[in-house]
Parts: sequence; structure tokens; C-alpha cells
Amino acid sequence: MPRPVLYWGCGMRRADQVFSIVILIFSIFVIRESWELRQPPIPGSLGYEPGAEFLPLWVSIGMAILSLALFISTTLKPKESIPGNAFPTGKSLFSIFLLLIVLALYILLLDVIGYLISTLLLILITMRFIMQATWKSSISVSILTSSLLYVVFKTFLSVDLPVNTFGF
Amino acid sequence: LDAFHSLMLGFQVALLPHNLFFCLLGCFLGTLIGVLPGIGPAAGVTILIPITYGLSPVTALITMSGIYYGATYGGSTTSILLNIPGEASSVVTCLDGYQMARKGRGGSALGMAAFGSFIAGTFAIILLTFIATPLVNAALHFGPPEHFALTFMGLTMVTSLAGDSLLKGIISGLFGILIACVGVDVISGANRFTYGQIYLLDGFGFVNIAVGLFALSEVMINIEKPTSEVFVKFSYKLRDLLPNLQDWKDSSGAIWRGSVIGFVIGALPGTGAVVASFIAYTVEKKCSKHPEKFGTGVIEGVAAPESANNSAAQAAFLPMLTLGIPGSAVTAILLGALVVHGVRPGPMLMQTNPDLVWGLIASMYIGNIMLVILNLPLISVWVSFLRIPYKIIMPLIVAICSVGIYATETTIFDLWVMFFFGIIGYIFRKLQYPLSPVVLAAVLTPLVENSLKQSMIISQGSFSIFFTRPISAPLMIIGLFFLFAPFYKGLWQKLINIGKSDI
Repeated sequence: MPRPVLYWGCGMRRADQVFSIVILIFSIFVIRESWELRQPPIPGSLGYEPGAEFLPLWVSIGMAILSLALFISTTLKPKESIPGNAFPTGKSLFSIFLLLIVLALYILLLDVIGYLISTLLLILITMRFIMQATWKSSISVSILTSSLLYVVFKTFLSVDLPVNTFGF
Repeated sequence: LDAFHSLMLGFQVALLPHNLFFCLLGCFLGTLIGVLPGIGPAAGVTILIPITYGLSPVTALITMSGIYYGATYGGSTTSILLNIPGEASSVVTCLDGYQMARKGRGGSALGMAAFGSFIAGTFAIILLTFIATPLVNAALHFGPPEHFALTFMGLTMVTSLAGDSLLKGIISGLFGILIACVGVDVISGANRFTYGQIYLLDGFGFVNIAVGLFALSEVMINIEKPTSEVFVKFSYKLRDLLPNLQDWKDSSGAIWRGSVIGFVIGALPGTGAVVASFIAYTVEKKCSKHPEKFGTGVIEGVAAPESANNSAAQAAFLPMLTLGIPGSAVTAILLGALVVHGVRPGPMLMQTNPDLVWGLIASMYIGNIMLVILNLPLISVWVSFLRIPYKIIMPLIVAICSVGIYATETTIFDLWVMFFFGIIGYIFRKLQYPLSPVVLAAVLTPLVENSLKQSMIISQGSFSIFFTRPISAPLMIIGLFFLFAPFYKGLWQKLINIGKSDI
């Protein structure tokens, strides 16, 4: 049975407006940070070459102008001209958040509980709770694939994968 | 004759047993990615970068390139059988391909797609072989200002042609430049945006950025869609797949036109297999004596776009190998992967690493033959791969990406970079900011900044140097033209829309 996809009110137009402001704030931050990078010319050089700040400064100024232009042009367009929704909601949104949380936990715990257990859990939880696979297939696939990846990386590519205090 | 000699050198590299094996592996994985809807070639290539890290640069490049052009072969299978394009470059193939399958002529459509792809791919690679050397010889006379102008032009073309909105395209490109600025500035030695993090001294790391932007975000896009199981009844025998004489008569013109259109469009930065397939279909319809039959299952409607997308995919290697200017997201990722392997791209590449350039070119001849064999007799195998549910594939991709990223530098920090760029990639995709300018700018910025600074030293701080030299001036003007001429974009869009309006 297909999962229902629910949407809330964040339309494409509003999302465009919000994100262009986010980019504007980001560019202003980079402008400020680039300005701090200015240095006196290196002794002995003629001072013709642009310094470390040159590229990021002008690029972020350009980005600030363009994001403002994007905000204005989006706002001036009639509401009907930008239909659709930007982001999913309901179960789909929950799936994406769950994936990000599981992945973040994986990155945090990789060093602590070791490669084998954490990768097995990563595949198991994603399959069972995000992709809604059955327990049986989730367990078998996660055991099989995490050990296969272990062989590929550890044996063939001789990478030192993280281990826990018990050595696995 | 010079090209012939170089090609022989290339075959000596490409025919080494391990290179043959990895070429086959690349073609195999490429076809698989092509067959599976939802996973594109850009994601496929990036996932594989960490795994190919331990290989020699030429073997790694052969494998990853095989994935790229293999995917354009495999994309037609689901277009024809299920009306679901396996890749964006096979969207147009659905129109006539699926109709042919409904009339019981799916076998001929699949066969013609494979043969057309083979002919067009081989055509493109032969042209590439003979154009590459003269192009490099011309580019070797370039100084820093010409390099800057050339890269600038490549960047603006990609930026202005990617995506629907010019503003969003340029913002993406500028964002890519800023990403590349993080780390130690090679010229002044200053730390830019590192905030005391020793891991950031070398920048974010290209692989981490690419895997996050292309692979992780692709998984996120896929898991939000409702999952549906795909059932295919496949009952073609090898004999059904061979097009008959009439099919060949009908398609021969379409294949040649598709090959030429694909090559020209593929070699230009900013456009690629997707646009080529649309335009080839439109041109074919205009040339046809019976345009009204298009969309009802004519074989030219399959042959033209499938030839064009393969020709374009192989032609995309021309600017990348000779000038160091990738024209699309996938070639930018390949170029970035080469930099990771310690190879410096640009016109010098053919002189410093002839084995790499010619080995790759020779492997593409071999790969084309492998792909026809993989696609025709084994087609039922590929169709059976469609039964592997996304429930398994998506978690696996996340695991392979994570382990792969950890393995390249064995630091946890890189995983956070991947995580962070995965979220950015997802938001960009959702809000229709094109990703190809980001990755292209991230790869090219170190080179651009270098040639910019060298040019400034030559000209004693004057920007006029870019506009007064005979080669850099026209390149700069073309670049600016793309950036400031929305009407050009409109014209381009119109061309594509003509193709789309027929759907």
C-alpha cells in the first residue's frame, strides 16, 4: 500500500523567499569575515596580486546582491505563478528527520562502539523503521551487507576501521 | 597519425587485465545505475570514489567513466518497458519506446536503443580521438590570462544553462566558489574560514562535498517518495531484440543525426546528455516525412534520443581531458576525483599523463563493446535487478557512503562534512537550485584563483589584461554574454520546450 504524503502550508514561493533571505544573511557574514582577512602586502612583493580576501569578498558581495534580487523578484511574482510545495510533511518528513538523526548518531558513536556494531545498526534501523522492511529481511540484510563492506574495506582496501574497547 | 600512435599507447594501458576488469566492473555498475530509476550517474560515480581510492589514477578513472557512460545505456530499458525513465537522459525515449512495447515491438526498441547507443558512442569516441591532440596543442600556448578566461567561460556557461532560474544558477556557482575558498590560501598562506579547525586547513575535501551533495541528498529525495514495488513481465528472447531490416532503414538517419547533435551539445560546457536527447528528438520529428506518427511508437523516436545521449556522454570528456574544463556535474566529479588522486588537470595533462588520457580514451572503445554485450543478451538479468526493492538499496547507499568517506582519510570530521552537505544538497534540490554549478565551481576555483593572481602580477594589477589579449578577450566576452544575457537562456529554454511540448 502506498504511504500517504501529507503537506502543510509551506508553498514553493514562501520557501524561496525564506531561503533567499538565509543566503543574504550568509553572504553578509562571509563579507564581514573576508574583510577581516585583509593583510598588508607581503614584504618584497609589488603588491599587484590580489590578497586572500579578494575572491571571497567579491563573490560574497555578488551573492548578497543576487539573493536580494531573487527575494524581490519572487515577492513581485503573483502567488499563482509559483505553485506547489517545497518540502514534504507528515510521514515523509518524519522519515527524512529520522534518517538524519540515525546518521548523526552513527557518526557520533562510530568511534565508541566500533565499525561492525554501528554499521549493522545503521542499516538495520534505516531498513526497518524508515524503509518499513520486515524484521526478518532487515536483520539478514544488515548482517550480510555490513560484513561484506567490512571485508571490502578492511581486507581489500586495508583501511583501519574504528574498533570498540573490546577490539571489534 | 599522431592520434593513432597515441591511441595505440592507450590500448596498451586499457588492455592490461586489471584495467579490462575494472572497465567491465564500471560498465556493469553503470548499467545497473542506469536501469534503476531514482539513482543517477552523478550519485553513482561519487559513491564509488572512496572505493577506487586505492587504485591507480588511470584504473580509477576508467572505472568511474564506465559508470557514467554505462548509465546512459541502461537508462532506456525501463523507459521502454515500464514508461519510467531510468535516467533523465532517457525521458524522451519513453514517448515512442513505451508505445512500441505496448504494440509488442519492445524487443526491437530495446535492440535499436542498444545498437544506436553503440554506433553513436563509437562515433563520438573516434571524433574525440582525433580532435583531442589539436585542441591540446592550441591550448598549450595559453598563458594565465587565457586560462582564467577559459575557465571563466566554462563556469558561466554551466551556471547560466543549469536549472530553470538564472539567478539560482549563479547563486549556486558563487556558493561553490566560497566552499572552495575554505582552507589555506596557497598564494598568501593565509588561513581562510578555518576557525582553528586543523581539519579545515585543506578545505572541506572534495569527496566529502560530492558524496553529501549528490549521493546522500539523493537518498533523502528517494525515501520521501512512497515506495512502490515494480513488477515487470519480461518475455523477450535474444532474437526478438535484433531489429529487422526495415527498422534499420527507418533508424539509420536518426542514428547519424543523433550522433552529430549529441557530440556537439555534449562537448559544449553546460549542456549534456539530457538536452541532447530532447533536441535530437525534436530535430528528428522536424526531419521526418511522417511527424504525426511520433509518439505512437516509431523506431526513429527511440533511435534518435538514445544515440544522442550516448554521443553526448562521451563527448563530454573532450573539454574535460583537453582543457581541464568539465562541462557537467559528472565530469566535474570525475575531475575532482583526479585531483584527489594527485593528478593536475588542464592542457598539460596529456603531456604529463599520456597513459591516463589515452588509456581512458582506449577504454571507452572497449567499454562501448562491453555495453552492447551487457545490454542485449543479458537484458533479462537487468530487468530482474528491478525486483531488488529500494528498501534494501537506500540503506545500503547510506552505509557505503559513510564507510567510504571514513576510509578516505580515516577521520570522523569528514563524515560531518558529508552530513552537512547532504542537508544542503537536499534543500538545493528541493528549491531547484542546480547542483552542477556548485560542484563545478568547487573543482575549478583553486585553478581560477591561481591564474587570476598570476595574470594580475603580469599586468601589474590591471584587469584590462583579460580583454586586450587576442584569445582571452573573446572568451571573456562569451562568458559575460552568457552571464548577462537572459535572452540567450530564453532561446535555449524555447528549444527544449519545443521538444517537451511534443510530449
